Amino acid sequence: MKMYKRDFKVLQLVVLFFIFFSSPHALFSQGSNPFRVKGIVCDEAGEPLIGVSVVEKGTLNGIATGIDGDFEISVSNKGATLVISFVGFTSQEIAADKTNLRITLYEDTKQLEEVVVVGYGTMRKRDITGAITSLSSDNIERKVPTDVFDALQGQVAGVQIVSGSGQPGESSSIKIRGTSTFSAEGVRPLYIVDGMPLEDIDGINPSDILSMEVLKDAASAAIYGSRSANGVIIITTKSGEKGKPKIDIKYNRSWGRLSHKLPQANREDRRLYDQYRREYFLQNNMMGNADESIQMIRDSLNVFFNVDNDYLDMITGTAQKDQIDISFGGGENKLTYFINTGYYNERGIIPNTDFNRLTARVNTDYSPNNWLNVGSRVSLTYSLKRGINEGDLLRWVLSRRPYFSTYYPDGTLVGVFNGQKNPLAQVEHTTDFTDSYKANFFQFFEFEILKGLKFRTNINANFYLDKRHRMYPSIITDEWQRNNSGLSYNFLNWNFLNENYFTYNAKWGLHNFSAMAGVSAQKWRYEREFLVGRNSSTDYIYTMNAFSANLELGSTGSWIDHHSMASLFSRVTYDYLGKYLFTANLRRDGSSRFAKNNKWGNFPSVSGGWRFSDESFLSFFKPAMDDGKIRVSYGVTGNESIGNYDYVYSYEPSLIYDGVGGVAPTRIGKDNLRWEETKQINLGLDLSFWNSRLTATADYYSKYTDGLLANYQLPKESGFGYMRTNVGEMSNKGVELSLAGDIIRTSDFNWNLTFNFSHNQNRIEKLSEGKPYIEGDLWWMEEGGRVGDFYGFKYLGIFQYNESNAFTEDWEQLTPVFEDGTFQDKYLLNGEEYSGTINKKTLPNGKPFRGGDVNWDEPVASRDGIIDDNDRMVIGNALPDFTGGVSTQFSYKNLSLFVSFYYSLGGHIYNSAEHVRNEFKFTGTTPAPHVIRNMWLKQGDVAIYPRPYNDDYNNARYANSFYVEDASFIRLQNIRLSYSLPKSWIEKIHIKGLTAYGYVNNALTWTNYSGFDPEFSTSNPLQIGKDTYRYPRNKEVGFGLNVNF
Amino acid sequence: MKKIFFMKTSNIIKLITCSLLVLVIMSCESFLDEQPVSEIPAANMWKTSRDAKAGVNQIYGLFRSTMRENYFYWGEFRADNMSPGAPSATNQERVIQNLLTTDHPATKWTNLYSMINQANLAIKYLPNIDMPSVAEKNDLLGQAYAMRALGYFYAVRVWGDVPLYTEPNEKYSEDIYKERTDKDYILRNVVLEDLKIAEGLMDRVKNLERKRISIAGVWAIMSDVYMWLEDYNMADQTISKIQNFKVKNNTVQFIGLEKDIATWRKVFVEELNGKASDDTPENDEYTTKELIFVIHFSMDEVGADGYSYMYQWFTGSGNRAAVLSNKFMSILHEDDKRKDYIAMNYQNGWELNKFIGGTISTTLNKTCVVAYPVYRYSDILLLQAEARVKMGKWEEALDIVKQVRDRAGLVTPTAMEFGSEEDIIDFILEERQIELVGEGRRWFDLLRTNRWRKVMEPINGMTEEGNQYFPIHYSHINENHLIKQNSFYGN
Repeated sequence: MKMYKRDFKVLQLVVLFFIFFSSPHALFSQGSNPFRVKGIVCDEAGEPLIGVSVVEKGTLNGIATGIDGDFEISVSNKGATLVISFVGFTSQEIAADKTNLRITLYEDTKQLEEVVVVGYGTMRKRDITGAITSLSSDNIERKVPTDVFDALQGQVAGVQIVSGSGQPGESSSIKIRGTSTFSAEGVRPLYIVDGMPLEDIDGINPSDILSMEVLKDAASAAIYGSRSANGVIIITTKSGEKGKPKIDIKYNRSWGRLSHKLPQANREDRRLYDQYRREYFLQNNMMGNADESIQMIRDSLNVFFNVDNDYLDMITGTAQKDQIDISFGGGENKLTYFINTGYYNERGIIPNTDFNRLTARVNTDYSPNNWLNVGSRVSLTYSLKRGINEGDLLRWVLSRRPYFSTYYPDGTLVGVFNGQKNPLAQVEHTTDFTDSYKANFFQFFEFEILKGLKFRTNINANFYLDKRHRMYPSIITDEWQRNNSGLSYNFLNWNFLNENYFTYNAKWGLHNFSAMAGVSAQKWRYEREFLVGRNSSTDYIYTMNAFSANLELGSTGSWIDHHSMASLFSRVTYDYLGKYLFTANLRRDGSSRFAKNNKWGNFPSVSGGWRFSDESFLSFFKPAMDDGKIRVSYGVTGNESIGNYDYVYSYEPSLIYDGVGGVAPTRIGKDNLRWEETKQINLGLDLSFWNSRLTATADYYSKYTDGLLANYQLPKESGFGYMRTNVGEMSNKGVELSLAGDIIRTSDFNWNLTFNFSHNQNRIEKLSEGKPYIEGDLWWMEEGGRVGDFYGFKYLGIFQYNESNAFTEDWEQLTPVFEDGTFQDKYLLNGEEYSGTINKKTLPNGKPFRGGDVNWDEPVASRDGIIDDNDRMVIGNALPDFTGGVSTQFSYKNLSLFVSFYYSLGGHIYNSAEHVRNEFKFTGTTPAPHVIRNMWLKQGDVAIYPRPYNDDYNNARYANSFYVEDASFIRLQNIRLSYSLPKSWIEKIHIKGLTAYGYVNNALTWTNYSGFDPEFSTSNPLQIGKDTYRYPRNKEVGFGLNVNF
Repeated sequence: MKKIFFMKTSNIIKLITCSLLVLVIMSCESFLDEQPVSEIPAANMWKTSRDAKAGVNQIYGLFRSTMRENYFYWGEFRADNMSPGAPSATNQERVIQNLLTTDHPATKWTNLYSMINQANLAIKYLPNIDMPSVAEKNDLLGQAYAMRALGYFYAVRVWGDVPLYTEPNEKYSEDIYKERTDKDYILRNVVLEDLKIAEGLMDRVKNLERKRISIAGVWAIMSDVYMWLEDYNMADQTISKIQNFKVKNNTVQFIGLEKDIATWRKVFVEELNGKASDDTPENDEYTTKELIFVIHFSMDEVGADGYSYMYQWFTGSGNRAAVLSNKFMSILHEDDKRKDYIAMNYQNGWELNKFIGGTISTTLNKTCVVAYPVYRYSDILLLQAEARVKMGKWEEALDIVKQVRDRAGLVTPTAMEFGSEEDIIDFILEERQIELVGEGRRWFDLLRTNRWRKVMEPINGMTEEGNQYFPIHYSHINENHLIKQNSFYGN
């Protein structure tokens, strides 16, 4: 008893910690007439069960069964209730009224059968030794997602999903456990849909999904070897169930409005700006042209210069979404089937942008006899995306003079006027649509050769065809309305896969053993066709026949690429009693993308688990903790996502001159291009308390990526731009935590809360050339630095007077003394008169910075007062510190409310769009209203923004720390209230179930970021966090209906 | 029942195991061997005359990319010919006003060095190609040498010292990182030597190109280089070679002066505009004789964003990059017959009308295919005049200048009217300024004759040593730490 008391303290802490979740049991009681009971616990077959928890109800008094399933316990009094529980079995309560008890526990089939799909097979969820997160169709459907990424967002610790933009049909970007590669193509995880490795899951209808598994650590992913460095997402689609056919109909509809507006200059602001600039030029006799806007200033009664446009209002309207799915599922003895047809239609908040998707899926499984299983998965998707060039559109939305008319007096749309495009004309007249055809065929045959030994063959073919047509008619291309342009682009990706593998399962007593080994081969063929033309005879036809006389020869052509991979893979798992678990994988992958001696890579992994909760010496935990497991794994994964021929030194047709096509090197020759490899260690802990009422999963990982494949900028004097190479090494370390608890669990009222959190620390460990470099003009890549470090000039303020450019020898700024606007030839330092040397910051050519110029900082090491390119430094980082999500669901009888948030804390955004509109470079570009009112105009102005004209002092220097903003946000992403009609009502109309719901998506965002949205996706993993303004996102309100027959 | 099942499966196993073995052992290596379809493996390049032609032709394509903007940035806007044209043309204005920063597009040498690398490839591989016509092979090789020379010639005039590559870069290694080489070394040992080699290689019978380098093109560059090297005698001799060069069995003068002002206008307005592309070097598709080497434009070849800037940058008050400066207009004599062809007043600015020849609809801006003249006979002729002055032959020099001035309807002063060599050089330079306006020559004249300070200081304050060079784009310095910035722009 003493021992239990000490342990009780430990437990008490746990209990206090989760007091919220604590059950209303009395925690312990003191008995007066102790009664000793002995017993044996067996399963249905009469086999003794070891480690079963036997606890006196309402107390902490308990013990675990020993090696023969036996136990002995002293209870407070005869007839006290014993609770017998064991994971995977239904708990039992029995009265301790005899000294010898024989208890039979029955398997809880539901719990035991909870399986998780892993590569080339399934595992019981409780036996998992890697870091895998599983999502069920319930988890998915309650988010009312439009695609798989929507469904995943905020739900899985360690998975960061950034939705593209608000443009209908735009793909999201996904990152599992931080950036572990440098190349844009390799950043995506591998998607396995029903065993098919797919590059693109945009065509998957989320309502087809039965479950989704995210394989995060190397040990889980390594079975997919070379393509798994960024994790693996396994999607299993629904199958029919034996029995009566089930028909489900789902429908939802929503409306959306622009969720966040940007401040834009109105007519008055812009006129002020024109006046200010004119006065500035006149006063300063600068090189700019004082008469640049004279026409607009003088002719203010001209109707053409006299409207007041709010372009954002003018181009945005109400978005709409409709989604309908009809599925049939059922089966007989030997055959099951599932058929789902879905239609999705979205109209964006900007007119002329929309997305339509039609999906069809047929899943069938047939087992003609007891040794053969045959199955087919066929999915067909057609989608049509009509889009707009969001960058160009938003550029003109933000910068066009607000007083320029958008229509001519005769009612026709203004095209390009004064060098500025009319956003309304852009929206109205752009033709840009892509038809996508996707087809996935999958067939498997599974033979049971002997009991436990199976052989399986998978045959898979995927077909993707994208056809894009784009035409910019002359009204929106240039001032002169001459140069319309047309594009036709076809992209075909055709690939097929064959996999053959054996699996073997055996059970020897308490030892479970399984093995799997196989081979796979996959081949891809890509075809691209471009037809590009300009200046056709008509604006009416968008197809390329109109351009046949004006094709751009240099851009027109067709290209074919091939890629192939071959692999050998194997796995063994072993467990003893489900208590000690072990898994090992080995995959050997060959890829055509590497030179002969580097084609093959080996990707091993091992993992182990210990279910300590089943140990008898920890059995006192049992009453509270029903399951506890520690997982450890290590593995190597790879990445071959580079161009198909990046190792080949070759030539290709290039520029055409005087009727002859030139031929030039495609790329520089590179020896030893090799696999990118990521080694990863994962430590995990799974806990489950009070009959799964509270579950917790925590993981720590450390990833080290070697041979990072990326584009490395070459010195341009070499004649080449960049090369694909193994640029360096990088590490990612992080922790992930997810908690799920049923706070209230009664028959009528349930309330649960899930929370997940992840933190990742990235570090660039090594660069192969040793030298730091700038990636894409903004990101600094340096050993010891982090991916996403912004590199630029640090803004300290604006010099108030010419004389404010005065510093001490330590570059501390002095304050010039003015009286009645006249400089007194005196400086103050901290309020005291300063008499030392006065230093000035200058351009390299010696010209000192003036009043109204930006006071740029210099790195401490190179403080020489000369502001040049060496004075750039790291001014921010795009990576968030913490990401995760919180969701909660209340349900009372038939009513349920689901609310989910996700968050991203820390990190910065470079607000490039804001920088560009406030550069004062181009007369036509309208700055933001607060800029117009806060810029420097004359000596003595206390300003935030510099002189309204960018000259050789280059106050518009890029990048400028002034435009680095905090990227943190918390978003209330979903609110969903649903009501299921009582069975008694609907049975009369022969309906099995009917659920109606209303929802709000993207309801609220808390952020300090000034742009449209702190969340936007980027395809290049190194070029993150630069906001050039994307299609703005909308706030969506909708309702839906699910009917089952 | 059970037995049958076993037999069946064992057969199946056999079949599959075999297929597996086949897959794994036999075919894996070849299965993974994918050769490019739409690319030429390097080993298959530089084998035939077709390859030679394509490889050399690429040099010109890259030269056009290099010069499309820089023709004006490097040679024209930096000098006193032009004033800012419209407020929207910031980049041009920055060059004109001496407000260059290290992020200016004119400071990038990316395309120029791609061209040099392409020339290096041709120079390395052409000699080994087995071509039916040795003359043609040598001619192509000569063109490659001449273009490499021209590339470096521009580079040293724009940046001063530049990194030097005379072998192609094909494989990545540390060797591709180089420091800047002394500009005089490059001028003497690379540019001039290349031109000498080219001179020996060019086909003087079948290459009557003006859109590509011909022997006349080689001599034109060479005479310019000799002028830079102040070797006036050699410059004069080289120019004489152009003057004596006859084609079609020594019957027809290939390059010469068009004496009539109407023909002068035709050269710019018609001959440069929209010449059809052709691939027959022996066919001289030009009817005038002044053009020696031009950069050809064709919309089919350059694509929508590759048009010639001859219209867009010089017309329309809202868009024009530059207008003729007051200074230029002040030296343009009222009686000069060229005046109306060169300048046209439009909305408070004198637009450069030389290549347009009248009013033009701005709708044509982005379809402009007016070629850029790189070397023209008047240019060479006036260089010869300068050389003769330096050689002390003032009278001869003025006789040469007179040919150009006669055409313009101007009287040419006699040698008696000049007090010093400097005066007469100034006189010739002014003639060059008018005659060659818009042809990307003026700034290089000021630089070559070391007059940039004197001329530019009153206009945009250019005076400090080092300011005569362009900055090197900051990205070049980031990418290669051995490159040091020009002192005026950083350290």
